[in-house]
Amino acid sequence: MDSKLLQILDSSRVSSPTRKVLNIRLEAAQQQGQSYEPKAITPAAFAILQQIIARLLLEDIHEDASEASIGLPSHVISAQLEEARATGKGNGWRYGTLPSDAAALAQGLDWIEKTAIAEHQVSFVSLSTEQQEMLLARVQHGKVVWPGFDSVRWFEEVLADATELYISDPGKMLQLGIDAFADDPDGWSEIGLNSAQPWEPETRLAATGTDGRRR
Amino acid sequence: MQRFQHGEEVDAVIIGTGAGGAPILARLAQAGLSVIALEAGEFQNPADFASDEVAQSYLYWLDERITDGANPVAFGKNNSGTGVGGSTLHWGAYAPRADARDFALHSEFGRGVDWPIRYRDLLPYYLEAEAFLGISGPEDYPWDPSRRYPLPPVALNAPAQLMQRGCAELGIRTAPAPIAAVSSDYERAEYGLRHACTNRGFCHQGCRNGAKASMDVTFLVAAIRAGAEIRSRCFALDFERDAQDRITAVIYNQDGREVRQKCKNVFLCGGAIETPRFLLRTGLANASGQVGRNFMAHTATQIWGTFPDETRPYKGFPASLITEDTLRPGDADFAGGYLVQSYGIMPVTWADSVVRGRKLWGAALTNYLRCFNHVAGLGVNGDCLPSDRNYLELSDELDSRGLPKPLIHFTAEENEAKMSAHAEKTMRAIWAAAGGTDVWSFGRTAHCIGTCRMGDDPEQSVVDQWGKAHDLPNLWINDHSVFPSAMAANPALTIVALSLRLSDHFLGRN
Repeated sequence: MDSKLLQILDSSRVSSPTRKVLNIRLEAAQQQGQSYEPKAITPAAFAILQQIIARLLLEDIHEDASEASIGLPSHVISAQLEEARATGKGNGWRYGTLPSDAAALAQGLDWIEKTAIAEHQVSFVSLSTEQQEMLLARVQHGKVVWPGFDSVRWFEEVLADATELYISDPGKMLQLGIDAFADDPDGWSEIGLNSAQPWEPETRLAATGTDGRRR
Repeated sequence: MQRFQHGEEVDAVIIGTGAGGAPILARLAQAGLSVIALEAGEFQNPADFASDEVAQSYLYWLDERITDGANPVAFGKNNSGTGVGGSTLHWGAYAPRADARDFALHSEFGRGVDWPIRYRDLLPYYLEAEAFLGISGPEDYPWDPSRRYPLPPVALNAPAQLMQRGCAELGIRTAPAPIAAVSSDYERAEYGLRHACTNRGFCHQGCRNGAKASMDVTFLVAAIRAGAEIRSRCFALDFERDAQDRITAVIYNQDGREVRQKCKNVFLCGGAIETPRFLLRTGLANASGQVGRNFMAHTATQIWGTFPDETRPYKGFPASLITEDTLRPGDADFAGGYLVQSYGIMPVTWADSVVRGRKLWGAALTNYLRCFNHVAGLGVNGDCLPSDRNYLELSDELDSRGLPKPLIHFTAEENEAKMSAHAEKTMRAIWAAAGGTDVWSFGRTAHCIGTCRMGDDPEQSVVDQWGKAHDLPNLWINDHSVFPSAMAANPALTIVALSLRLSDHFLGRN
């Protein structure tokens, strides 16, 4: 684990309720092995999900290449996403055009595989990265014909679930310069533009665009 | 805390402990009445709140709601809460009063509806609510010279400073927003001492030091001190009635067990989803056929921009600046208007907006998330007109309690679409003037409104101007469901004012 993160997490800057939930999350991710037995979908569908997650959360190569490795591997995000869907741990709402969260995951992955086979005669997992991305872009924009199934909302929901897991990882947050969890004892006094508490680590991240270039 | 017997006929049972129910509970208890509140969620200890978005999701109403229509509304963390204190536990605490003109939209524009009451009817209760809750606000409120807030404003964060900068450039007036959190220590005899806001920023995940005026640290403390009982983990199922249709008892589920509480009156304050859901399920108070109709959601379009300055948008009160200049824009092609607020945000919520609103993924997404500490947002809260197309019904799917899940239909009509476009143009101009680049918009909605509208005509409304159900002699409704129109202002302060007004009427005081 990142030493800077450990240092802040273990310091008196973090309240005990906050430290507790972050440690549970970090441990759960560390203990998530490569082999995961999916609960609502088949192992073959889970293999497809892992590749989709890898495409959705692709890390670009930055000036500081070591940073790009910080964050949850796609097999961890896939496993946690699948488990949440399978156990019905929802967010309180669901699009009316989709079935239950677990059923939607299984059906959408099934459609992905059917489309890959129909168009390329091979499984989604055997497509090139570029082919996978092109197919996913069409799913996102409703350019695939999946009768009775809302591909646009399906894609949005998988992406949203995956992104939440991705950015709620404390290591990722700190890499992004987010130390919101350093909440003790007095909150923040420096909250205006270009101001930080004296003890806060510099973020070293500039204002960038979607291409990763400085603005 | 006082404990009543189930067989004891109490003066009133109040269902829900949010902004609709809590003030009634306190007022009635203070008047010496025997009152019980039923709350579906748990008692919370603010000291246990973590500074983490995911871990705090237990404050959101997570029973599944099905959302449909051309602009399906997001529920859960977007607008719905659970726990003693209801949605105010994770409420943003932005607390403007409704504008006087918004009570009579139909008179002004020939569209929408007029409320059966006016601003002047609520004014004494706004004043009381602001003093009781300890609203922090500007010394001079540019849009209402007579207004005085009990406390000076909370500190402005970076997004608020940027909005000040952009608006100043364009000649748009701004002020620190009225915020229901105390900017300095505040003490009231009814609930004791609350400590000043520490700018921790996790207002939407539960305030830890009582600075934010959620119901659990204000009205509910006052209610318990005055002899009220609050029962947690209680989900109301049905009423028992006598031959005259008077409710004689509330049947509820507590920890899997059915309980019956005798009572003389019931106040249903479950919010604009659970209140109509209860009434549709039981078939009560719906002779008008209006229960569940006219579901509304505020036009809540946001824009996000990137700045060369470091913003660290997770710090401070998330939304802390306001302009009301946009309540009746000169070039408007729509009825009503909107308020603009600055937006700070937490990373998970922001990332969720980025993927749903900007639809980024892959390297474009992970690159963009890296500039979190340089982004700032603006957002609006705009009126929404009632429409026949927008309603709540019971679906044929059952939840874990075996009750039908609610199904909500919402499609933004022409008025909302035009307002959203106007708002986006205004906000883009402000961000351009403030130096923002890479600006994108997110056409979202906020708050659940309508479904049990108040009105004078029993054929067109569910409750009268006080909140009394037209069809039942001792049922009262008070929450966001009774609003005949959305009004631009964020709703909680108005809901509290309506609660106090209803309570006084019930007690024969007004």
